[in-house]
Amino acid sequence: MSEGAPIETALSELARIEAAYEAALSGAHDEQELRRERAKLLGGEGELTKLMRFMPKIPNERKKEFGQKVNGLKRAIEALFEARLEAIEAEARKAELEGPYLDVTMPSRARTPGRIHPIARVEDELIEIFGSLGFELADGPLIDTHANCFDRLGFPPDHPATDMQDTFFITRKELGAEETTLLRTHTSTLQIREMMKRKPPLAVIAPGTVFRRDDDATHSPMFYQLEGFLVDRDVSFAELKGVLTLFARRLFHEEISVRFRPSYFPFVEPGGEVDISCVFCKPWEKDEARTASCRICKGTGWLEVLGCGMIHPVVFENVGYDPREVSGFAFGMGLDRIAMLKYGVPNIRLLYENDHRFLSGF
Amino acid sequence: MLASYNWIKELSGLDVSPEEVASIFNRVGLEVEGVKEFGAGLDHVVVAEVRSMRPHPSADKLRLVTVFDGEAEAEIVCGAPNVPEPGRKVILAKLGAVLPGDFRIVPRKIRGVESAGMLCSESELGIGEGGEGIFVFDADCEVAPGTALIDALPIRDTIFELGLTPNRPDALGHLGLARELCLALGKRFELPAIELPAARAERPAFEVEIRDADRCPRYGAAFLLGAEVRPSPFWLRYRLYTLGQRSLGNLVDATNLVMLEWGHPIHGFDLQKLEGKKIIVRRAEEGETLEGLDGVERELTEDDLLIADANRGVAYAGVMGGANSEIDESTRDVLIECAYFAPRGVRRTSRRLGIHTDASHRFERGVDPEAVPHVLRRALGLMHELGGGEIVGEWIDKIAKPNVRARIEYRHTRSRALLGYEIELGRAKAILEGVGCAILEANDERLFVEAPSFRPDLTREEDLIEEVARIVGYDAIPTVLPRVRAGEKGTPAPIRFRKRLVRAAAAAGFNQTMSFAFTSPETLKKLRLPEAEIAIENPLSSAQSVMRTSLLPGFMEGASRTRRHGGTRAALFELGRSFHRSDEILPHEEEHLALFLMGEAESEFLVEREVDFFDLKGAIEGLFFDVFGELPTFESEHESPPYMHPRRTARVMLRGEAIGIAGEIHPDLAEEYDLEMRPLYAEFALCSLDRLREIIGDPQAKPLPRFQSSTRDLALVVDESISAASIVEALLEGGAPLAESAVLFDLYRGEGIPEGKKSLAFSIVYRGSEGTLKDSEIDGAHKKAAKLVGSRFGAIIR
Ligand SMILES: [Zn+2]
Repeated sequence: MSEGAPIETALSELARIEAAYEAALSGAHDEQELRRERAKLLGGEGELTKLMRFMPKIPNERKKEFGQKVNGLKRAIEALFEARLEAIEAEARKAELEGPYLDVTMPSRARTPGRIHPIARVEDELIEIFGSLGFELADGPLIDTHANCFDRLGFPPDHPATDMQDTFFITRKELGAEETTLLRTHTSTLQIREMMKRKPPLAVIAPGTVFRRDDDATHSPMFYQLEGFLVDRDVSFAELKGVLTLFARRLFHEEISVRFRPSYFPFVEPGGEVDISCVFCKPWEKDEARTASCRICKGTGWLEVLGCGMIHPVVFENVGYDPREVSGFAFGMGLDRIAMLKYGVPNIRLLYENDHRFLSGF
Repeated sequence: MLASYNWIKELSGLDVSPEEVASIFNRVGLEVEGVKEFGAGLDHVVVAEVRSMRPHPSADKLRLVTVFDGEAEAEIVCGAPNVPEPGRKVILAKLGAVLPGDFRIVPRKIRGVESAGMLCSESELGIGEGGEGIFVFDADCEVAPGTALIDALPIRDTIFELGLTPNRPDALGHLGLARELCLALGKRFELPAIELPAARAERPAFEVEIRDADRCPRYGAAFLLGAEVRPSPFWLRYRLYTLGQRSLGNLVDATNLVMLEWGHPIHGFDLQKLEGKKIIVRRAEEGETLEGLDGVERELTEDDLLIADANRGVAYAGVMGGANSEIDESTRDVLIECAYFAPRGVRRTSRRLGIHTDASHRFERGVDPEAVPHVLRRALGLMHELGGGEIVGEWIDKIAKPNVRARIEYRHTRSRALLGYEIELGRAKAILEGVGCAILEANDERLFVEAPSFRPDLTREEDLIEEVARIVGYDAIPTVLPRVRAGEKGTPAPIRFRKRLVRAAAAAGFNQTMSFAFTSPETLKKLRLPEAEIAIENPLSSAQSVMRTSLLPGFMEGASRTRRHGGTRAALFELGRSFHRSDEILPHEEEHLALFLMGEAESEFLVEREVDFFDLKGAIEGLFFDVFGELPTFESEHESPPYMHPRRTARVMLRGEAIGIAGEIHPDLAEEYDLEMRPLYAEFALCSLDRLREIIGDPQAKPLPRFQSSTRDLALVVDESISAASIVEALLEGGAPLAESAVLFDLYRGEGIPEGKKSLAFSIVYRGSEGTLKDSEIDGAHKKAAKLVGSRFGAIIR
C-alpha cells in the first residue's frame, strides 16, 4: 500500500477484500481452516484490521464513509463466517454420525479391580446367609491353648478322637508349668472363647484358618473353616436341621436335598454329618446316567459338606453354663471344600499359592 | 475296618442284601467308605480231577496234566511243582475264562504243546496270597469235578470298608456289626453259642499276677496243650485274606479271627517259652527293653505297661507281643491271653513306641471288659478245632478291678426337647434294649437303664438320646427354622471393619491372597525379616517350621511362581497375621494389611511401562479414601526396614499417625527371587487402622463454597532435596487464609536448570469466605505465598 493517495488505495484494497473474502471463507473445509481464513481478514494482523489503521490518514470528511464501509464488510465477513461455521459443524456431525464405527474393541484405559479370594467369597455368602438368620461374626487367635482346642470341648485325654485332628504344637519357650499351645485344628475353639466371654442367647459364626498335620493331594496343612453355633433355651436338633438345610439350599441350589447321618465329634451329642446332593451331577435334574458316572460324588449323588450336632453338656459345664438351663447346636464346615465345589477349583493347593493368574479368575 | 458281608449275615442270621447292609450302616452312623466284591467274574473256572500226568517233551520244568472237568478230559500244560496224584482235585480255568487282571484264557501253545486251559493258584484267582503252586483240594473233599469254583469254595463275598468313629469300639468286631444290623432292623440279636469239647487236660501250674489294677483291671489266660502248628484251612485263610490280614499258621490265625469276630484282641504265647510259670502284668522299668514280634527292640519307660514272665518282659501290653515268646512252628502248648487294658495307657505306649496295631487300635478305644470269658472260650474252641491238642478246662480269669456299668436315666421330655421330635417311650425302650442296655426301671416318663459293657461311649442321657435318634433315623426329625434371639452387640465393629478393608483393597486393584502362616527360618533370613519367635514343635518340613513374622514371604513366593510361569504382573493383598513373642500364654498375633505390586502397569492405554512407586501410592490413596474418606500423606522414610529400598520408601501417615510403610522392595531381594522386576510393597498395622476407625467415624457433611475461586500458577527452582509436599505446605501457609489448595502440575530438570536443582510448577486455588476475591486480593496472597517459599527453601521464583 503506498503512502500516496491513502483514501484511494484504501478503497481499492477494500474492494479487493470484498471481492475475495467469499471465496476464501467458502473454500475452507473445516473449522480450523475457516478460522484461519477469518483471522487473515479480522485477526490482529488481518487484512481488514490493517486497513482500519489507515483511518487517521483518511481525510476527515471521508472518515465516516470509509468507516461504514469497513464495518459493513466486517459484518458481512462475520456473518458469512458464522454461516460457514454452522455448515462445517453440521457436515462434521453428519460425517461422524454416518462415518466409520469406533473400534470399541481396543483396550480400555480403566484399571481392573482386584478380586476377592474364592474362600472369602464363600465366606461372604455364608455371612450373609447366616447373618440373615441372626448369627453374628466372631474371631479368635490362630494359636490357642490345648484346653480351648481340645480339653474344654470334651476331648478325653489320650483319646483316639484327637487322631481325627493331627496337631501342630508350638515349641515351649522353656520347659515349665506353662500350658500347651498349638495351632488351632478347628474353629470350634471359638465356641469355648465366645461362651466363656458371653452369656446366652448366642448365635455366632466364626470363620478362619485352621491347621492340621496333613499334606497330600487332597489336604493342605492350613485350611479354612467356618464354625457356627446357637445357644439358648430349648434349642433342638430339628432347628439344627432347619438352619443347615436352609444354608445348603441358599448357597448351592434350592432343589438340593440334605441328608443327616449320625457321626461322632466329642463336643456334640447327638452328632452328625451332613451330605448334600452332588452339585456337579445335580441329581435333582434326574439324569441318572450323569450321576452314575460322576467322579466328584463317585456316583453316589451325595457330597459330605459338614459336621454338626447338639452341643455336648460337658462343653456347657466347661464354660460355666448350666446344661439343664440351656441347649444348643454347633456345626463346622471346610470353606476350602465348598469354594472348590462352587467354583470348580481342581486342587486345594491353588488356594494358598498366591498366584496372581489364578486369583484374577474370581 | 474291613468287614465281611458273609460273616455279618451269618452272625446276625438275617438275609439282607449287601447294598441294604451298606445303606443301613450309613444310616446308623457306621460310614461305609468303600465296597469291594470278591470272587466275582470267575466264570469258566471249575473244579477238575487230575487223571494222569506226563513230562513235557521239550521243557523240563513243565508237565502235561490230563484233567477231567466233569464233561471231558483235557490236557493242560502246567509248571507248578505241586501237581497232585491222580484222583485229587484242582482248579481249572477253562478256555474263555477271565482271571483277575484281565488275564484271558485262550488256546495257546506252550513250548510246542497246546494247552486247553490253566491250572490255577490262589493268587492267579485273586482269592489268596498263593503259597506255592496250584490250589489243591483236600484229599477228603467231595466236590464233584465240573462244579463251578464259586460253588465249590466260599469265595463270593462283599467287603465293606468302614470309616468308624473312635467312639464305637464295639463295631470293630463282626459280632458288634451283626448286633447293629439287628438293632437297625428291629430284630433280636443273640450271641452265637460256643461249643467246647470236653476238657481233658489238667491246668498246668501257672500264675497270673496283676501289679497295676488301673492299667489292667482284668487278665484272663487259657491253655491248649499239645496242639500242632500247621497251615490254616482255606476258609480261614480266605476270610483273613479278604479282611486284609496275612495268614500266619493255624494258631495265630485263630487269634486274629477271634479278634475280628469279637473286636477283642487276644494274644497267643508259646507256653514253654514263658519262664517261671508266671505272667506278671506290671509297669516297665525305665529303660527296660523288649524286642517286639516285628524284630525291633524298643526301650520302655515307667509309663509303659508290660506283660512279663518271672524274669523278663514278653509283650507290650495291648500293643504287640514279644519275639521271645511268640508262637512258631515248633509250638505245642499255648497260653491264650485275653485281657482288658485301660485305653489311655495303651494309647500312650502305642504313641510313644510309634506302633499302631490292630490290638492297640481296639484297646485304646475300649474293648468289652466283661467279654473276657466268652472270648477265651471261643479262642480255645477254634484253636482246638484247627490245631488239635487238649483243652485245659479251667482257665485263669483275674479281676483286679471289677467293671462298673454306667446307669443312666432317659427322660421322655428331655429327648423330645433336645431332638425337637417326639419318639414314643416304648419305642425308645425297645431301641435301648436292642443296643444292649438293661432296663432297670421304666414308667410313663422315664427309663433307667444300665449300659452294656461293650459300649463305653454311653455315659449320659444325651448318649442314649442319640442312640434312639440314630436308630429312628435323623431323617425322621423335622426341619424347623429357629427363632434366633439377637445378641446385644451384633458383629463387633473390628470384624466388620476388616471386611471393609478387604473390599477396598480389591477395589483398589489388588487380588486377595491367603498364604501359609508358617515359613522357614531361611526364608525370613533371606528376606531380611525379623527372626521367628514362635516355632512349631512338630513341623511337616523345615519349610514350614516357624510362624511368619511378616506377610512378605507369601507374596515373594507367589510372585516368583507367577514369574516362573511367564506371568508379567502381580497385584496382591493379604489381610493376615504375623506371630511374635509375648508375656502371655499365647503369642502376640499381629494383624496386617499388606499390598504387593509388580510388573506391567495397566493404567495407560497402549503405553508399556513397569509399575513404580506412584502406582502404589495412588492405590493406597484410593484404598484409604475409600475406607476413611480421607487421603493419607507420604513422608520419605529414612529408616526403612532392611527389606525395603533405602531411598524409595515412604512412611504413610493419616491424621498424624504413621499407619505403615510403602515403597520399593530392596532390589537385592527381587534379584534373589529372580523376579527381574522391581516389586513394590506396602504394609499397614491393623492396630493403627483400628484406632483411626474409632477416631474418624462417620464422614460429616461440609458446607459447599459459596463464592467463585481463582487459580494462579507459580513456577520455582529449588534444591532436589526439597519435597513437593513441604512446598505445598509453605504455599498454603503463606497464602493463608485465602489459599485453599496447591497442586504440583509440572516437574522439570535439565537444560536451563542448574545441576542438583529442579523446577516445579504449582497451581494454587484462592477463595474468599466473604465474597468473590478481587484481583488485587489474589495477587497479594499469591505474592505472600511465593515469598514464604522463597525464604523458607531458597527457591527462585521463575
Ligand atoms: Zn455327582
